[in-house]
Amino acid sequence: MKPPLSPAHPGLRGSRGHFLKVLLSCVVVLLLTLLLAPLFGATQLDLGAALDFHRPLSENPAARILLFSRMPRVLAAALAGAGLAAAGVAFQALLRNPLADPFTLGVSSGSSLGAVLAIRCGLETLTVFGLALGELALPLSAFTFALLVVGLVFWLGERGAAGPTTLLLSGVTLAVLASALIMAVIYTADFGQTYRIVRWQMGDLDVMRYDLVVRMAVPVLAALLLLWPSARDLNALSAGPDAAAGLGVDVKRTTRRVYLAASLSVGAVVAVAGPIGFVGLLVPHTLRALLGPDHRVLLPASALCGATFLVLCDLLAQVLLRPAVLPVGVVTACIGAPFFVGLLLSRGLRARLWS
Amino acid sequence: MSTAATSSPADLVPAEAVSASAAALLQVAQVQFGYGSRSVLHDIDLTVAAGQMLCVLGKNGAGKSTLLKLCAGIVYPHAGRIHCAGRLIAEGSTKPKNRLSRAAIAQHIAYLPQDSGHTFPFTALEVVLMGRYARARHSFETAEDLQAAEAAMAQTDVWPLRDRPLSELSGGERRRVLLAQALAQDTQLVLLDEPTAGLDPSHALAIGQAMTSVCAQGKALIWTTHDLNLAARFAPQATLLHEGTLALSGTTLEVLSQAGPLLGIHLHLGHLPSGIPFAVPT
Repeated sequence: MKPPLSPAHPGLRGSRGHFLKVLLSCVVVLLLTLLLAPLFGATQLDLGAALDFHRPLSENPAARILLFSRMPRVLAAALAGAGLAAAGVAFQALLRNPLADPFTLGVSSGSSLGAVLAIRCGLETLTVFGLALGELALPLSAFTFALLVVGLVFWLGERGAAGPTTLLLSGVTLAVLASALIMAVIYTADFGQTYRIVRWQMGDLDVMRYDLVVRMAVPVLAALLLLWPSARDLNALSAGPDAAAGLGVDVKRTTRRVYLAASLSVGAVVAVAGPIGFVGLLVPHTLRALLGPDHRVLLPASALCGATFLVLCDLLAQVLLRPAVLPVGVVTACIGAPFFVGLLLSRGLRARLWS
Repeated sequence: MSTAATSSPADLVPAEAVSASAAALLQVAQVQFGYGSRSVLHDIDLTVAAGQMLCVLGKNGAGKSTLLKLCAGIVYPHAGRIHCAGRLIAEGSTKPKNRLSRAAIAQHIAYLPQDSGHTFPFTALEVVLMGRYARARHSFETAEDLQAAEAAMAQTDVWPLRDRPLSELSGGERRRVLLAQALAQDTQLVLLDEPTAGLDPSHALAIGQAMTSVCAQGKALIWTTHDLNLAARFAPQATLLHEGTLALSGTTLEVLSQAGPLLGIHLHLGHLPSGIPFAVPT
């Protein structure tokens, strides 16, 4: 006797109903976080004064702090978290390796090298075709290097055994090389440049403005839109490229598209916020354990929860050593590293995360 | 077209004629393939009819897996043509743009590679539902997809395992789940690369019976194996790959009777009192 089948099978984590429920809860949590987070920061904020609409904005310092310092900072943290977490999911799925993330692949390091070179070589003063690069120099350079590294990792993977290990090892190799080159650049830099480089490398949302938010928002949102249609194909890729091809996935096209989108996202985030570690590992792993591995749920949920997570981390960064503000990268690393060691040690959790 | 492999010049048969003869589901004509300058397969001619089960035999490295990948359109031949259900899957010199899309091929041909464990902990039902991806127009599976998955899982007797992660299942259960995935894909042709490798005898028998029931539905099935007894018992037709070409084709017992020298063994063939054939190396 066959058991009856309900259309909404409870064990099915990739159903539309489950998707909507999860996404709705993630959106609600994120919105609440976005609303509440600006109220906290390095200094106490008088909310009553800030929301006093009778005073003109120019004479209301509390409102100005809320609107021009806290809000863009929170939005930037949300975008960076979303971009990094989604890129983490994408890289893990593509490489069939739960340890893959923007950092283990060398994308962040490559991107950092680009940014550091931009600072060291004074690319801000460079003019291309009569246009001064100005503030766009650093993000452009960071993004270019992110793409270069991804291209190189990808090429190595296609040339070599094409296994997940090959790609991961080439990523680690490139990361080490990029770090060495960054040290070389710092060694030749003058004092002012060195300070900027070191500060930037810590992962920083300190001086945030709306134009920087927009600069990050456009590529990150574009990347998310590019990733979404591939979510189902990423499920099939979990069984390997041949099995995925047998299920009807155009493996080459999906791989290229997802790589491009993920590096676009990482490049944009690193360029504006500096290298912020562990978001791409921590958020997807936690959500995979909670929600299951279906990328149609995991990908959007990771983006939304990654946003929430980084906003909260940045909040911690601001209030922990008040009035001093920690770089947010320090906070994510302090949370992420022990989490990850625990993950590697706990056999039960490990079995649930990857087979 | 009852023989497993023919030497008919299928490359002269236009695609329309192929589709007109419903019996010939898969036609492989004069296919050549190699990695770099090393030739792996050459002069491959193969015809498989609907409802037919064909077993591909051969030593390690004889090119069995490559042959299945060619039939599935996952690797492309250097020369020759492959048709399935009258659709051109691959033609030696064709540029990728003129080829059938992967999703279109996957609606005709289900293919399971030899080693297909999942990196991430999908449940058995989620894995079987992946078989519906090529057909589903929506991002999420419909009730119809669920019904197809349930029917397929019932057929291979894994429905009770539906909520268990694939990685927690035994080897035999995992293969049956993957077979259900191939069934859920609802294709006319199913290609299985070593579906019984590493299984204990009872699980191997269960897979063999499941494959027989697949063919009884009118689907064609090609599988590779090193287990000559399983081949003799379950596959009516067999073909043997030797030195890059299909050296022997015919009924499995015919093929096995001549297979010894090509496999480097002496084979003793016989029938048990119950009528079940066996092949023992001596």
